[in-house]
Amino acid sequence: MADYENAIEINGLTKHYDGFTLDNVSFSVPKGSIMGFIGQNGAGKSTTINALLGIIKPDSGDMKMLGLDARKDEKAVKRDIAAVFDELPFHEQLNAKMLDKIMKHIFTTWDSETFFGYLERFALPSKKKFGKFSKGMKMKLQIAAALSHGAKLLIMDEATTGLDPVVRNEILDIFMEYLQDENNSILMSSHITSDLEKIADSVTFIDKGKILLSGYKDDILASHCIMKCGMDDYSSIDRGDFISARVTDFGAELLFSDRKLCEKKYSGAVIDPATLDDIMIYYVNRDKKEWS
Amino acid sequence: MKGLIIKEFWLSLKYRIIVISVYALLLLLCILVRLSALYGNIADMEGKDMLTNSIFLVMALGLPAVLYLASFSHQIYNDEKCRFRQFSLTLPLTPEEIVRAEFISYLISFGAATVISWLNYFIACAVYSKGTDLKYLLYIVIIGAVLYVFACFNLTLAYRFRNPKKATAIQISICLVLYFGGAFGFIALMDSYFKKRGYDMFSDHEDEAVPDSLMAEFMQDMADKLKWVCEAFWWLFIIVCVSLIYLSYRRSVRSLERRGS
Repeated sequence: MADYENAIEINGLTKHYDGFTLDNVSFSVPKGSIMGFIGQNGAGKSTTINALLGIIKPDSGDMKMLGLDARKDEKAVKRDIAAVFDELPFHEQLNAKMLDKIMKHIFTTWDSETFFGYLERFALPSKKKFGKFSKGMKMKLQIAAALSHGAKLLIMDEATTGLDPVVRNEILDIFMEYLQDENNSILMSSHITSDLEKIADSVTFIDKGKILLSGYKDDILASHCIMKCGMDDYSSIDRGDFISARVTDFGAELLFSDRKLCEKKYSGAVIDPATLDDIMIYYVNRDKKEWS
Repeated sequence: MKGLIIKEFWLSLKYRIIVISVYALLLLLCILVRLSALYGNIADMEGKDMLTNSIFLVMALGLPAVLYLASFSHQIYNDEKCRFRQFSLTLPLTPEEIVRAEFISYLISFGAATVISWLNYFIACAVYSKGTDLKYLLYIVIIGAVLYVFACFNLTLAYRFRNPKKATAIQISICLVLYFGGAFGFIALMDSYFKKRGYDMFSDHEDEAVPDSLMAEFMQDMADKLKWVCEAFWWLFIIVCVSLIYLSYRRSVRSLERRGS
């Protein structure tokens, strides 16, 4: 495997569908980090991930994974990556023992001991058919399978959606453990921003097929802020300074992408830190500028 | 690829066990009829020989059909339904390997069905005290090969359309065209054969009706021609089967490659 700086590098990824275009998407996931890929439903997260995994063919753009070209070296790349989807992609008639035997013949690096170790840890029965598993069990099984062939990159599409907070927390702990090895990286798409706020090193926001923001989570959180003001003050704020504003009968809440400017220009106003949720909502409404 | 073949085997195991149980039950019934004809309550029955001959045919020809039925699997649609097909594209496997796994799974099933059919034929001959005709073993292979081509074509449609209803509708349409085309073609051939000899198959006049002897002559003529074609062009049959299988394979790979384009 080539030496590489970024586990994922996407440049100018474009895919056109009737009614939706993934438009010139570019971002990178540094090696050894976890990136949260955030956006509302239909924003283009799954399309980007599917293009990355080779499930769909992009119209244009370059994609590199683990230092290799995702198209030209597809087989070599896929040996070292693992994908986790929102739904279990295995047949309901199978059980974990059968899955182990199947995967053993697909991945040369498959480690049955690791797989059964995860099953034991997650309290998953090895002989029970997948059709009888709960949603949480199915997700844990997918993660166990994904982590049992020494994958260096984990790509997850809405993997924690629909899970209860206890299971989500358990899964997030596993990811943190996985990242203890600095060669491992994760790209995790989700619209549950609280999970990403907990574990992500960097985040990328996508909306309507376009990347709005991409960078280190702490930098993004530090640079954005929410300013609260009354309606009189709101009318005097320069509209070019903020991303969008939530206007209610009681006043306005505005998202600024430059906290320093906000603090300097509007000193005296109430300024709160923005969460990833806030950033997503305010950016999604940026075209309207004013919403309630 | 081996992993996918194992998956196919496990997923279709239940269906195959059911079909093979039906086969075992029918086999037992055929053996019981023979025992009954030898020692039981139909031993002295009139027309006993005709009955046992018919049951022999059921055992020698009908049961292989049941065995081949067990070789057909519809897992490919389940792969789509549970999104395993999508997941398989994230595995270190090329589209060729994914498709090849399906074709090889079918080949193993049809191969096993052919071997069991041979054994079944020997059992039938032993039970019904009939001499074995080795040509019959060849006929089983031919039937197996034709059904394998049909199964490969089924896979191609499944890869192309991903929708079982659409694929089945197309397959049934093609079968109907082949069936009715063949039937009408055969009738037209019969008609021209008899007309050349001054008879009309569809005439209401009794003097123009085709005599039984001419009908028997026609059937014998057809059988001779078929035998001649089989003996002279057996290699063409192999070429056609191999070509169709290869075309089905290439078309399936292409459909998988073009997915998501």
